[in-house]
Amino acid sequence: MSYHGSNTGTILNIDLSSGKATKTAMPMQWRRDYLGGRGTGARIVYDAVSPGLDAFSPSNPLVLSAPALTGTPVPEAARLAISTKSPLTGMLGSSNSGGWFAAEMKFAGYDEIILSGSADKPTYIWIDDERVELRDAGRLWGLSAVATANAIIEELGDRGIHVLCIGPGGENLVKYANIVTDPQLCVHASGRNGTGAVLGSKKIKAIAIRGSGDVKIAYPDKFWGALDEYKKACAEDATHIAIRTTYGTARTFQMRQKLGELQVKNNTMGVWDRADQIDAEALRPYVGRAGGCMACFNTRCHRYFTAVPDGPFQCVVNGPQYVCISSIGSNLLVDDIEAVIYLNNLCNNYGIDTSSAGGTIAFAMECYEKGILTKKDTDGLDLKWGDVTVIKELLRKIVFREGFGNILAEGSKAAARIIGKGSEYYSMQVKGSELTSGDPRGSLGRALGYATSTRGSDHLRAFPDIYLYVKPAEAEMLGWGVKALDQSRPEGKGRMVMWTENLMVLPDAIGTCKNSTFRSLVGVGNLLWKALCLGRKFYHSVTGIDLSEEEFLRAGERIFNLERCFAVREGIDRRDDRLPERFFKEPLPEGPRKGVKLGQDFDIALKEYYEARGWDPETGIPTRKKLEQLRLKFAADDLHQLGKLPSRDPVEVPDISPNWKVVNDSC
Amino acid sequence: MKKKDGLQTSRPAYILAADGKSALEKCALCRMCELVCSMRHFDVSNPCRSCITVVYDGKGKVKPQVCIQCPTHPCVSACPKGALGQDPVTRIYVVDTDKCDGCRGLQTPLCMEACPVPGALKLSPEHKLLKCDLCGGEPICIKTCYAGVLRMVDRKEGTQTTFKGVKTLSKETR
Repeated sequence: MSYHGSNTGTILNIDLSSGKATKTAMPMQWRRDYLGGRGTGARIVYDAVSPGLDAFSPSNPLVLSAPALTGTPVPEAARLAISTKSPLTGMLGSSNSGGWFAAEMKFAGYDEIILSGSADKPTYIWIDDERVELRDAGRLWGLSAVATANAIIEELGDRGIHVLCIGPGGENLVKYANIVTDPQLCVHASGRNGTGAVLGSKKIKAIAIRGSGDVKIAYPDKFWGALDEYKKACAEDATHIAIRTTYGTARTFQMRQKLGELQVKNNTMGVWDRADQIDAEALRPYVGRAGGCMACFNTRCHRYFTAVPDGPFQCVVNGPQYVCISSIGSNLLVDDIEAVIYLNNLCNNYGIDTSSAGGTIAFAMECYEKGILTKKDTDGLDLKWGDVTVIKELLRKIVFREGFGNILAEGSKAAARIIGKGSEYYSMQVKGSELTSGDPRGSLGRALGYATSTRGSDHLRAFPDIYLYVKPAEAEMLGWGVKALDQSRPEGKGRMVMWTENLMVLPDAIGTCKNSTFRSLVGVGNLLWKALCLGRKFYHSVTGIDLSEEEFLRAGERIFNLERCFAVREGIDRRDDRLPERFFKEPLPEGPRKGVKLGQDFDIALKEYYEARGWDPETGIPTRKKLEQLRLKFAADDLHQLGKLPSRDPVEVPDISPNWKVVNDSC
Repeated sequence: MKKKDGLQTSRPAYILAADGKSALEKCALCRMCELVCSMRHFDVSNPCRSCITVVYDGKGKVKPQVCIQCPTHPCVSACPKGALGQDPVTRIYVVDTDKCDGCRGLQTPLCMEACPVPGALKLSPEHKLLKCDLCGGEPICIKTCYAGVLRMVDRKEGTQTTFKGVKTLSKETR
């Protein structure tokens, strides 16, 4: 078996300590087992990191993966997957971003770039097809993301170069620093899990890349056929596409408000009377153009060149997207859209994740309100809700780790541990990662998705909103049961969340945008399955690797389980699959979900989830049988060595995977 | 008038154009046109092999650059090898890659020097000229441009307006 499609199988290893770059080949079997992107990234990091390793240690690798479909004209395949051990969560930190970088990696001929070791002085990496060069970045150190990219473009003298870089946040090891791609064009950030801090700990300011090679397509005829099918699916879903193009993801903000699950004031409320001042309609007059990433077919959710022309908040930025609006808008009670755009630009240039930054500042503000923090603790700052000047100053303090900012730069979980005095209650995070918008109260599926995500709280790792689209017959067919669609009952939620988690691994692994995965779900019955079929067809036509739908979902399950094993190896178990106490104690005060909170049902659903996954319901650790079924015996052995798994399963675990044959026939 | 009539018969009936300012504002920078162009002509995905190029000026202006089958076609007479010519059936100006050697030895091939539309022509990695051939009449880039930036324009009807649009476009690039 050899590579004859879009994959070259080339891994570029850059040892920063010695400055040497070598190329190795990736085992072909990995393409079947882990597909690529998030999958191969997870495997590489799993193999390279020993349990308990410090995320800032030189032996923690940072893996950039260009998934199989990037660089090809497969619609919306542009995602760059970044994997490393996260300094924020201590688990596998994987994050991804759109833009053009992943495609350029493919044109340069690399599937993966692994950075290991650590440079002794600020450096940036210049990859020009075959040539890899480490260049001095002394004069770039300290610059904002946009300034860095522009300086590199000027130095190398080609506007066609694509740049990925960190801002001062990453340099100063802020635990939630992000990696920004193509800031000189339109910022795309792989925000979560503090990947930028790992790059900063390696003293790498940026990576610039240019490629001129071909990305081969295994079966061009099949590709054109699949593209026609995709176009037909889009035609059936024109309304959804029009909404995305007109409003971008910001439209979701309105949806959350309508459903009463908006993230307001550190998750104390579910609706906000001033939400209309920062929603998609309010944003519209400022938007430059609806833009897309590489090969974006018709979603175009980005808001390129969004500009505040004058006043104190003057800036030009890409976005803000929905998560950003809720994290630094409604969550902090900022009711001025110009201020939200400005703060988004500020976070981008500092190179920090807007959701974690917003969550951490909201935590500090609530502690201040409750009297846990006083002016003495906050360097004299009056942490009033919605005060943009204070937020601006706090962001600066965080990024440069000054005074009180030094504590907040650790993320809300660690900050609460430092502050003490019961402040843990106000830290809205799961496993160290701050919550994104979408209140879990009143939606058990969402609560479960947040609790079990392998990178800490996350709204993109499961797809709990699926109950809005799936018909009862389909729920029955997929093995969830009809009751899964009733959000007030725990039955079926575990199976549903498991299924969607496995599915949502796939876009990350093959490189497509989750907008297109969601898209094919809306409005038309059973298009969820169609999305999977199409993804499989594109994967086959482009890479030449023919996997059935079942194998595809199995790969998703395998990747998810490997990520879980990584977490278990770091000491995560059932006790950590838990949401903040607030959601169990405080019911939502108003809105459509008034009076709703989480309760016993959550534990019932969680137990069902573990059973559906084939994990031990008592500990939440994958069983040996499950791991061996998924060809993850090595992970089972690792867990056995750490005393987390017995050498043999004590009891027979029933296999309750859905009946694939039945589902397959309906495709 | 006689001259105009003469030109009409020697030109293709349709041209590909990114016409008008409003259309250009819609370009999403997705570069799908580049990718499908190289797929259609070479069965590989590589912007360095596409006949259309999306140019970004770094200040918010984005333009797809492509051969507009212009009436003067100075590239044809500039070619020392006679590699450029008109397709007898479709009347589209195309390049014969067997004859073209990319003017080896010269810094810029003569056709590219003569071309009035900057960025419309470029060289492939094999040093051959890449020039839009309208895919023989049904450009694939139009079919995959959902932003609606690219379209075919009937030369007889749209000569005036289209050329105005295209001319502004090329001026802006300079």
